[in-house]
Amino acid sequence: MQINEIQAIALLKNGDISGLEYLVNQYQVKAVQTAFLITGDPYAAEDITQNAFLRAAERIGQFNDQLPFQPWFIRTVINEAIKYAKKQTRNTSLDGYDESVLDWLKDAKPLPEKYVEDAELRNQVFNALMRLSPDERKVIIQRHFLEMNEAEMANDLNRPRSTVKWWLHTARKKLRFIWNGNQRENEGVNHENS
Amino acid sequence: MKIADLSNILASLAEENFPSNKVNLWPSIKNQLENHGQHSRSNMLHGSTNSKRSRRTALIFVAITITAFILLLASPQGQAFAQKVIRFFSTTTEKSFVLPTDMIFPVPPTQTPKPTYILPLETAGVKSDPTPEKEDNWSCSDPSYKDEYWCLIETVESQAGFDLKEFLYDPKGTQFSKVYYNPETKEAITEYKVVSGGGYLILRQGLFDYIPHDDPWSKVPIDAIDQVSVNGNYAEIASGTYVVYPDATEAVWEPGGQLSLVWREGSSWFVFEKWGDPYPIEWINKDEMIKLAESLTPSRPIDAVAPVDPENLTSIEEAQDFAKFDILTPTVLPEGFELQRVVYVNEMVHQLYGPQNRTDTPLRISMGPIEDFQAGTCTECPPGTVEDVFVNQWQGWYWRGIFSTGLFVEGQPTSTPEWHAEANDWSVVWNTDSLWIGVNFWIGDSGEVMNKETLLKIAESIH
Repeated sequence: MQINEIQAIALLKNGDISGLEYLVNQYQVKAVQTAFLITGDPYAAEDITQNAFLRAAERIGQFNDQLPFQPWFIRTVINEAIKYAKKQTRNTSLDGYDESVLDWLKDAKPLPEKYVEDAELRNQVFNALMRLSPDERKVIIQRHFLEMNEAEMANDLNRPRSTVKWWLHTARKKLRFIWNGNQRENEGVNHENS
Repeated sequence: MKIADLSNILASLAEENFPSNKVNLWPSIKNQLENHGQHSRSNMLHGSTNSKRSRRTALIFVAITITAFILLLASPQGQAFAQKVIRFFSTTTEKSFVLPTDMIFPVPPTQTPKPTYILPLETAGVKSDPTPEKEDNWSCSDPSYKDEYWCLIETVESQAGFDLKEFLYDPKGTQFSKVYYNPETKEAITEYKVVSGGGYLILRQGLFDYIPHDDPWSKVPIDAIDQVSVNGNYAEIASGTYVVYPDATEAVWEPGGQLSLVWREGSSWFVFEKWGDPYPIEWINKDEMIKLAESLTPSRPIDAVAPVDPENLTSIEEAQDFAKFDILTPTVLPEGFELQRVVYVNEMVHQLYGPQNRTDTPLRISMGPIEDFQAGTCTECPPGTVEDVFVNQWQGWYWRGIFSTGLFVEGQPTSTPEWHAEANDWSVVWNTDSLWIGVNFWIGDSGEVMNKETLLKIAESIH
C-alpha cells in the first residue's frame, strides 16, 4: 500500500513500525551522507543515522505533524554528528590522516586521467573539510550540501542571519585557505618528483 | 576552487562514499527495534596517546623551568633580577611635567548661546524595512559590505600582513567602532566605544619588537605599573593617566581610571587600553582587563554570541523579556528621534531616545512597578518650581531645572550644587494604577529645546 509522509508519521505515532520504515527509506541517504560529511567516518555516519531514526521513533509523539519531517530529523543527525566529531581528536597534518577514509576514496579500477584529477580534487576538498572545526563543517554542509538558505539556517541555529553570514564567511575562508595550502603542498611535491 | 563548485563536490563526495542505491539501513534498524538493543559498530579510533605524551612533556618542561627559576632567585644574580624590571613602559619617577607653552590654553569665555527652537513632534515611527537581504554569494569585494565588521578586519589583516586577534564579542558596555592599520608604526588598532559615550577600549597589536612611546604623556611612574601575566605570558599593567586642570601649567599624574595592559605572545605584541571610566565600563578593573586580554581569539568563533546585557538592550521586546510589567511606549516623539537604547536595572526600564544621526539620547522615559516606588513632587526643588499637572487622567508633577555645580556654565564650577532654573532639563512624573512613570528631556547647547506643552504631549502618548 502506498503511503505518504503524514500517514507514515501517523502510523508511527500509533506504534506501527511500517511508518518508520517509510521514513527510513525516504531520508536515510540524505541523513547518512550528511553525517559522513560532518564526521568523515563512514562507520560513525551509519551508527549516528540509525540511532537518529530510533530516537525519532521514540520521540515521534513530540513531533508536530503539520511540519515537514526532514528538517526536524536532519537537525538531530547533525547534532549527533557534531557531538561525535568534537569528541574525536583530529590530527591536522595530512600525514596523520585516517587511512580508512582514504580507502573509501580510492577507486579499484584504473581511471582516465580526467577522472583521476576529479577524484584528487574531491580528496583534497574532503581533507580541507576535515580540517575545519565540526561547527564550521556544519554550516558548510547546511549551506552547500543540504542547500538550506540563510533564513532556514538562522532559524535552525537560532541565530540572526547576520551571524549566519559571518559563520559561513569564516568557514568558507578557512576552507579556501586550507585547500589552497594543500594545493601548494601538492605542487611542491609534484615539482620535487618531476 | 570556487564556492559554487563546492556544492557539486560535496554531493559527489557524499555519493561516492554512500551511493544512493546502496544505502539500506532499515534491516539493521528493524533488528534493533525488535531486539530492543543498540548496536554500535563505531570504530573508536583516534586514541589520544599522542596528546598524553605531549602533556607529559609539557609538565616536565614546566617542572624544570620552575626549578631553574627557584635556583636563579636564590643566587646573587637572581636577587638582582627579582627587582622590578619594566619592559613595556617608558618609566619616570616624576608625577607631573611642565606643559610646553603652546599647550597651555586659557579657559574659553562663555560662548554666545545658539538660537533655540522647540522640537516639533511626530508620530513614533516603525523603523523602515531593512535593506532586502542580498544573494548568498556576497563577498567583501562587494562595496555594500565594505563596512561590515568582518570585511573591515579582513582589509586590515591584508594591509598589516598578519592575522588580527579579536574579542569573542564586543566587551560589555562597548560597541565596535573601527579598525585600521597604521603603516608608520606597523600596528593594527581596533577601537570599541562606550555605548553611552565618554570612553573607549583600544586594542593595538603588531609583530616583533614593541617599542613603548617615549613622549612625556606616554611615560608612566614606575610605582603605577604592576607586573602581571596574560595567558602565562609576562605582562605589565599601568593604572592612571596625565591630566591637565583648567589654567594649569603642568600635567599631573592621576591614578586610577585609565588602564594600559601590555604583553607579548609569540612574535606578537599587544597593548590593550581603557580610556575614560564611565559607568558602562566601570566594571573593567585590572583583573577584568586581563580576563578580556586572555579571551582574545584568532578569529571570532562560530558560536560566539554576546550575552544579552540588560543595561544595553536595543529594543522594547528585549527589555520585556526582563521586566515583569508591561512596558509602555510613546506614540509621539521629537522629530527625527528614535529609540537608541533600553536599560533594564532593578526592575526599572529606561527607554533612551535620540536623533537618528547622533549618539546622544536627550529623551529618557523611565518606569517601574508602583509597588517598588511611587513618583512624586520634586522635594529638593526650590519652592514654586514644581507645577501640578495632569497626564491624561493621572495627577503628575512638572518642573524645569537641575541642581548642578555649573561646570559647563561660565567655565567656573561652584563649590556646591546650585539650582539652575533655565537649564535645558525638563521633567514630568506621575503614577498610574500600576506604574510610576517619568519623562525627562536633557540636552546640551545644540539649539533644540523642550517646553512643558511638548513634554506633556509626549507623556500623554505613553500607553
